[in-house]
Amino acid sequence: MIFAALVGSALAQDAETPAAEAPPAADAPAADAPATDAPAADAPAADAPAADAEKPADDAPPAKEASPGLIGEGWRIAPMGAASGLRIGEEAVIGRAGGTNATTIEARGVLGKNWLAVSVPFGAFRTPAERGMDIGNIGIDGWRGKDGKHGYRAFGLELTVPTGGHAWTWTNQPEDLWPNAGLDFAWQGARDLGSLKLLHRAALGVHFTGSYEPVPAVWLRLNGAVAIDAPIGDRFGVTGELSMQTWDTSPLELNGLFRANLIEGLDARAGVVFPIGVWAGWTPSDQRAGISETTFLVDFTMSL
Amino acid sequence: MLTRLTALALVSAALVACKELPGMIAPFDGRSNVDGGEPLVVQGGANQIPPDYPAGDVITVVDLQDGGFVEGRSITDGPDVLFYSTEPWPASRRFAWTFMDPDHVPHGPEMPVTEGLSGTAVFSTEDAPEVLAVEEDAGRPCLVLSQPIEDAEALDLRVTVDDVDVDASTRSLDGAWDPYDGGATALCLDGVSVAPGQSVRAWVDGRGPWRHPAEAHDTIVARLFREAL
Repeated sequence: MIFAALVGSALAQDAETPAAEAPPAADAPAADAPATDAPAADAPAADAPAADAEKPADDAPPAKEASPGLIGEGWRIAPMGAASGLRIGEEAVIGRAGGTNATTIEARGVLGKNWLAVSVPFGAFRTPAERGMDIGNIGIDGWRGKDGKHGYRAFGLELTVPTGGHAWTWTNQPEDLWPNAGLDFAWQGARDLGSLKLLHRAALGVHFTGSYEPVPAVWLRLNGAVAIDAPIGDRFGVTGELSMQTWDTSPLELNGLFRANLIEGLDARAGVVFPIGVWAGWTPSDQRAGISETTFLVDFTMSL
Repeated sequence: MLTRLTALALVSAALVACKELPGMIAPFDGRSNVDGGEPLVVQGGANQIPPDYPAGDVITVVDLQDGGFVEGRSITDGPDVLFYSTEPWPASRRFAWTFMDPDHVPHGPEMPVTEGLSGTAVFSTEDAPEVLAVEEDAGRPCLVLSQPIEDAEALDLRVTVDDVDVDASTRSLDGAWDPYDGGATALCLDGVSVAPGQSVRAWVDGRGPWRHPAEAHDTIVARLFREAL
């Protein structure tokens, strides 16, 4: 229902944007993304101040605050850009310390220059007695992004809401499955480096849970990630990401993803998380150092 | 709306985080005359086990007569862990039961047991009181018995203090002795003097002797009930 509302809102927003008022920007991040309110160099908007209209073409900023579609994403770096869609993803921890799987359904919708993502993960995991399965926490992420002189930037609030489930486990970070409530403020960005794209993220938040080891009752979450995305032709690409987080059960990760545009409106990604912090013995959980686990990732995104 | 949801979630989490309950075991260590259907309880044993988490067999029971494990199931109920045997406890048997740290799996809660609660205790279904400890109560000795008794005069009693026979004929029951009402009874010998640390031997109904040093009340409670406050 939430997704339907978001999609409805997105469609309404699109309908309010007349084509004549949205000339394509020459340097917009996505070639097919119409700029709604940015003055193009040779086509000043009717309502732009006169001073701005008289600026030389070289000084004109790139198209701003448009709905440019998906700018980029890593694994820890949340999707950037106002693209509505539905995603289903799977994380499977394998190895000696494996056995936890998380299936996440996420809906994203555009609200003007902002977008909202609502996700629900389901965990399947080992327990001392039997295999367990339960719902994780609802993630409600609100973002606002815009293009600027230094590339694309997005600011978001990520809210974690417990559902009453008892998925006392985690794949790599406890925020998704381990019952907890929290709020994070995140800042992300993307810029072109030739044919590559540099993505980065910083986030700070606080989370609360019951006091059951190894997860503390309250933890401050400081997260940073940097990624390089390399396109391979028009329909494929690879993303390499380094992510660190504290407090976290997996404080340092190297993530690799392969992405493919399968058909129009349907994208797939597959990859791995190398939890090098866990391998080094830096995890706060009772786990020996060594290559004890790796996480396989796969997700499918249907875009509107 | 989101703000209200967040506030509600934070308050709930804080309440969960604040819970801290005392721990004890029931039946207490050495209890006799246990009822056939009575579960074994570790109060506070699940303080570190998340709600509805299947922690596995954290309580095991051995029949000391035939040495085999007793079939049953450990369950968590709020902060407590309980063991229900599949069949009622057979009569006139002694058992040893152990509460241990739950196993934990990778990517799961680690569940350390509250300090002092884990360990092994014994109980029996025999109807025969034993002397589990001797309390020094305002200078008089009180025999801590393993099961409730109603009549202080009903027992055939012989007591020595530092190996000297004392007059055990004037007795009284300390009904308030057991802070958990777990069935322990203190049989006090009026007119007899004892000091902390003195050795007391006792024979009950011709069985014994049991030898214990005279101890303070709290020391005995902590040992028998494995009290972990």
